[in-house]
Amino acid sequence: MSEDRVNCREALEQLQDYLHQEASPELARKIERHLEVCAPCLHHAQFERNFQALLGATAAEIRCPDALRQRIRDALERES
Amino acid sequence: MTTSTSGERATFEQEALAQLDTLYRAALRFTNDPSRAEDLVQDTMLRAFRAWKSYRAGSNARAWLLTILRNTFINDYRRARREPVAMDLDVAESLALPESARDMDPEGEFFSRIVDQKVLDAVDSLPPDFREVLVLSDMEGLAYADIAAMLEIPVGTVKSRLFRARRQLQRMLYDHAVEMGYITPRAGSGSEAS
Repeated sequence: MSEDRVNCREALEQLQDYLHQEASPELARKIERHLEVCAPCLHHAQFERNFQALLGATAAEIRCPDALRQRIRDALERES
Repeated sequence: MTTSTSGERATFEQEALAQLDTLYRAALRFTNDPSRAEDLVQDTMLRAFRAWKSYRAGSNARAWLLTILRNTFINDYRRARREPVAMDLDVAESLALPESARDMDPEGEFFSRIVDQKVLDAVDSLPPDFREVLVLSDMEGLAYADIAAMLEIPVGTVKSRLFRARRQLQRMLYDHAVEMGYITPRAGSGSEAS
């Protein structure tokens, strides 16, 4: 229980939560210690991180159209 | 218009209009239809404005607005998700690249916009429960706890849906991600996403 790092199975199970800043500080430290010494898990962490970057970049390309933005401003003006 | 309502509108616009990109993206994934997505975003903003008094200043405006968007979608739009809708010219125009962007000659950027449709198609092909958590978390950056509150499900369920949604996406998009230079295949191993 009080071990200072996790094994590969635990690391991979918790990796996504860790990368999304959803792991507890204690668990995050354990995962970091594991990644320092485990090349396959580190490689997998890089894979997950890059995959998230692809999703994020795809989302960032889509913006609310200016015409809709204006339509909403006009509607709010009428509303108030 | 009284001073207080104009002040109200000013704070609403400051907080809520900043979230329009997020709302539009989520609406697109929910409705799978640009024209309906626009209507959904506008309905959401009007409802949010009318409910603005119930919003607690300093809380998460993005999560609050996405909750209204999702409820509006479920109540008024979901049944029609599969309806075929003819694209009108206004929508087609809004989907085209802005003139200014084309003038700057970012040919590579134009290309990347087109191929990233593969990512969107893969997201759209996920089962609705998986697609929803993935969009809210990985595309719009909501915390697991906010998603759990919005969907009224336990955080553990959010985590397990996300885990499975990401695995499915990774399987579908592995080759595309390699091609786009986002990931490097490990020598002698093609099973990263399995």
